[in-house]
Amino acid sequence: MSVSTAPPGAPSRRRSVPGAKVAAGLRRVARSPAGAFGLLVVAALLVVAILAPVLAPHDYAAIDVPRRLEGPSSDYWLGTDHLGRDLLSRLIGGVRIALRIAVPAVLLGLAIGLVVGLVAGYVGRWVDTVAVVVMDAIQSFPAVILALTVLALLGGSATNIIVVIAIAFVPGFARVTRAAVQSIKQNTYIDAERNLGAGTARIILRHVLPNIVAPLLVLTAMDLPGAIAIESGLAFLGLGVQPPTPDWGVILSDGFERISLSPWPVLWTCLLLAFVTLGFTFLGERLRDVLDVRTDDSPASSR
Amino acid sequence: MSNLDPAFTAGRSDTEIMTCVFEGLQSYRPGTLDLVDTLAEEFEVSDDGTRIRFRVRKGIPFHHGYGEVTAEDVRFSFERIAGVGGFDFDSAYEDDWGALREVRVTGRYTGEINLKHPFAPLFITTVPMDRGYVLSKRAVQDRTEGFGTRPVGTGPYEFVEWKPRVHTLLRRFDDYGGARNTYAGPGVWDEIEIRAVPNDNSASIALTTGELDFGIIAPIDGPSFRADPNFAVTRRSTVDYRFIGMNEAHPKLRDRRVREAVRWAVDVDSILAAAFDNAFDRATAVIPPTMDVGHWPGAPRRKPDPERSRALLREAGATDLSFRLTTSTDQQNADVVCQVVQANLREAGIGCEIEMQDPGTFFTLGGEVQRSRELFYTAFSSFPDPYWSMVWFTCAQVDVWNFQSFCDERFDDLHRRAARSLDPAERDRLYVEMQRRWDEAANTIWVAWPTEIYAGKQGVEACIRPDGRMLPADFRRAAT
Amino acid sequence: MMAYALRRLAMTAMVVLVLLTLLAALVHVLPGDPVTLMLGPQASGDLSRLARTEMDLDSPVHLQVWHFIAGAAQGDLGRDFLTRVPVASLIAQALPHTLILAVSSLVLAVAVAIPLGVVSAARPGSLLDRAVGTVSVGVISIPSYVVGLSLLLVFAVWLGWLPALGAGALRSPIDYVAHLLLPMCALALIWAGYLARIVRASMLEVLDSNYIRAARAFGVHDRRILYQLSLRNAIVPVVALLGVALGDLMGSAIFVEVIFTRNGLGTLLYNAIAERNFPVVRGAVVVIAVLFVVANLAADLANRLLDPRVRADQAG
Repeated sequence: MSVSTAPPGAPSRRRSVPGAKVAAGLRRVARSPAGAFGLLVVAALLVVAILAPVLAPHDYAAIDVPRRLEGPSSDYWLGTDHLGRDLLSRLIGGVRIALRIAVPAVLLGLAIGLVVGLVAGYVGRWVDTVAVVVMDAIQSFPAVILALTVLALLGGSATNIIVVIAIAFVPGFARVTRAAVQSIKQNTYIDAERNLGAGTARIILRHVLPNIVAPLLVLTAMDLPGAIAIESGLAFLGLGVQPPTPDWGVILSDGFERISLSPWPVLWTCLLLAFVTLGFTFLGERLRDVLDVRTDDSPASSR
Repeated sequence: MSNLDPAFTAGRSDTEIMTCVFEGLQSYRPGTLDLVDTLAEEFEVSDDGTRIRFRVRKGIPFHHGYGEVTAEDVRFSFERIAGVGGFDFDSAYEDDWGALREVRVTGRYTGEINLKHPFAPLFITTVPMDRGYVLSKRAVQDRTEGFGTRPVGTGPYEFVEWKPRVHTLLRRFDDYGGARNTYAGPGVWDEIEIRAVPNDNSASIALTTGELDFGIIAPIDGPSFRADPNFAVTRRSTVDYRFIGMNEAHPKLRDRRVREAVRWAVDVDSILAAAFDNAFDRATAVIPPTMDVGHWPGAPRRKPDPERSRALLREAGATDLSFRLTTSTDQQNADVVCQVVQANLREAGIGCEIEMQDPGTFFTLGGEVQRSRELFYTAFSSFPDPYWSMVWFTCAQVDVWNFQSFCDERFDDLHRRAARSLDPAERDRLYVEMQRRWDEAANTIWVAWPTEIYAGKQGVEACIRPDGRMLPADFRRAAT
Repeated sequence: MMAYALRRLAMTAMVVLVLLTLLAALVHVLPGDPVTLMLGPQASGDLSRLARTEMDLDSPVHLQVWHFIAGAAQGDLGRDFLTRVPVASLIAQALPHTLILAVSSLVLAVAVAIPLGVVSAARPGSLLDRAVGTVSVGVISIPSYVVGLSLLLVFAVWLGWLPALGAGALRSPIDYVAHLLLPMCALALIWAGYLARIVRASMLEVLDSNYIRAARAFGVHDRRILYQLSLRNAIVPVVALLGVALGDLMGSAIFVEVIFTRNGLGTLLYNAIAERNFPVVRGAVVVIAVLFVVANLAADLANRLLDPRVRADQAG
């Protein structure tokens, strides 16, 4: 279901130095409070992901049973979980876990979606119809339920999870690519080029790809929080996490089971997840405004 | 509930339902383990323990119009389970009556039970419990396969219906023959409904909403129910045991020093705190103090010593050791237990991967599952006689329920002798020695002797057997 | 119109078919014998044989799917493995709770979103508008279980205003509603945010349209009437979205039902997966799939009925 699908902006012929463009773009993004917030969150996340072992005050797998389910203290700044493990260290450890699944998943979805969109848009006819129907079906079907069923049967290994989440995001990327290809197809300038003997691949590379960089970038930024949310959600429901992995979803579910004894695990993890997802989303929205992109942003694709 | 045919019962709730529906020649006085005559008017055991002469009370009717109890029904009930006298049964409970040679019927109401050899558990657990119930021969023959789901007994309540996963309904048997009248009354309640509840959490909810009058709750809910004046909380120790086992047959665990190293690494007190909130007593061997016979008070109560573990491992030349710890998903808080063990082993330099298996897979007997088993955590239940705790760890049970693959000839020999002795002091000695040998084999880390925690509406006086099983038929309205 | 409807129906039927085939085929990908996995070692030979026949495990995949569909058409969705209860009755018990939750959440979401969207559109760029905009982006991106857990934490655990567990008894409406309130709000919050944005965007578009300008030119100056006219058109995309919303809600419903310990289709599915109770998994997933495609279809058809522009656009 699309609300306002429009082809991306007019074909761009700007070929200035990419670095300068990026810097200028970032500055524009940061000008709005939402965008600044988003950049901050993403930057912080990257820093934590890289420096996790150094930043964490304790080993996230070290238990301290006598001090379980405590609130914040001088030893354990955010409190402890049901085995006495430091919540702060576990949450920090969880950054890598989340990104390790979410980033490949979204990138894989992008890659597959790109191919599907290109083929469907270019070839057209029944291939296109089939593609649209399948994409529609995948996009509107609750991703969590599909993931649950498939993973329950095939096992919750990291690879499986990445693939399943990727599939949920393919339709978004495919749609953007397809729209771009279709609009290019209608452009007479291309026909002229073709008449002059330029190959199909060349045409695509020269005209389609530059057009879709912006919307794909925006979509990636918008899909990453969705991927993190789905991955944590699956872990919350008990799928595929080997202890003592500090997956945020596991911290949540362990905390939820004992929520009346100690609210801290749930509290901190919810706050963190809220910040992370908000940050990426604000960034994505601001990027979209800056890059002047209009896309279909159904929340169904990120849940 | 799944099957109320004493030859085939599977679940614990089956036992509790059966106490309302069936009766045996003898029973336990409600709330105790004292033996009293029930269906039997006379119950005489010979000096050498191999012959029991019995006389059944006259005029005790079976439910649903199946006539009166006779000695022939007694013969039928016992020989059926034992698989003698023309019965070709495959009951998992043959052991109960394994010593039976025959039941001779000497009159309409009299008979003699002949055993091949004395068997102490027969008197303590078999006759007064599930396998000693007297069934109606005619009813079993009438209902054949269906008997398990439509049982016929002589108890104060008769079976009405079973809706799977929902409930079992029992109704007071108005023509009750009165076999229990000397020590307990006839049915007090019009109806008893035993509800199937998926877990302790749901039971707690159902109790607070009033849907349930009485039920088992999780240890963690104990304090809140105790504080609530509308409820009464009872604790009962059981004869069950929870333990971490090591499969001796696995190449990684063949060396006893490795097993001892694992044992020295695990911090049982931490497990009890983290997984059970210290609601359970720490187990030090297989027989708990609640059993009359067989408890070993001197059993070692080890404190974790990771340094000693490392030393033992070095001695055994085991480097880079890593284990797979398996448990079943239906085991209460098994994930927490396993995570503590994993952390403990890590401190001793031993790797550990946790694998939660669904009960079907975990309880697969023998085969590849057993061969590949390394470390495992599970709980076994038992009956009020040490025989039933020990029997699963004999050589005969390797590749069956003996997950540790523990095979010790002397252990088996002691076990046989203790079963045939009728002297409690001698049995006590033998069982303690068995547990000593077991401890030396270092294939088990004892975790807990669980207690069952019950909560019930004020106004209902519950009756619970010393081994933790409920006796719904003996619940009473509390005096106001 | 009829042709379009039939075409969509056929496509959605295809989706369900693919799903069923997937489920049937996946069972065979499992390591080990599915029957032992499902029933465990205590299963007698008879029960194993029964399971095999019931699940059609020995037939080829396409026959399995056919048998299931044939049965489903008569209301037979198979039987629960462990207790032999018909799956259809398990679902019939669970479904009402989920439907009540989903529908009430949607109603709440719409009831909140429309006024918010209208007010935002009336004063674009105002503080209110920006606040609503930010909040709605916020709730859209935050995962549903985070919203649910936060509500649980604040209102049930900390403040104790509302119950934390269970669905309450249906026979006591007040009790039931008390139990419904938090889960309903958790789900509604997310969609309210999204719908408010749609309403706002749609309203702005319509208010700016020739239609409204014409009305003004004809002397209709009353703001209220203008808004009423605009709203009628602006609602259209909302209707289209309700179908999507229902599908999305089913996904979030699993989390919310687990978090608030409500019995419903989500909890049924979740428990069945944990127990590896495949007939129930299959039945539940199929029912969810059918529900959402039907909702989607209905919304889509309603959309076409309501909006003549869309119809013209998509002709051909």
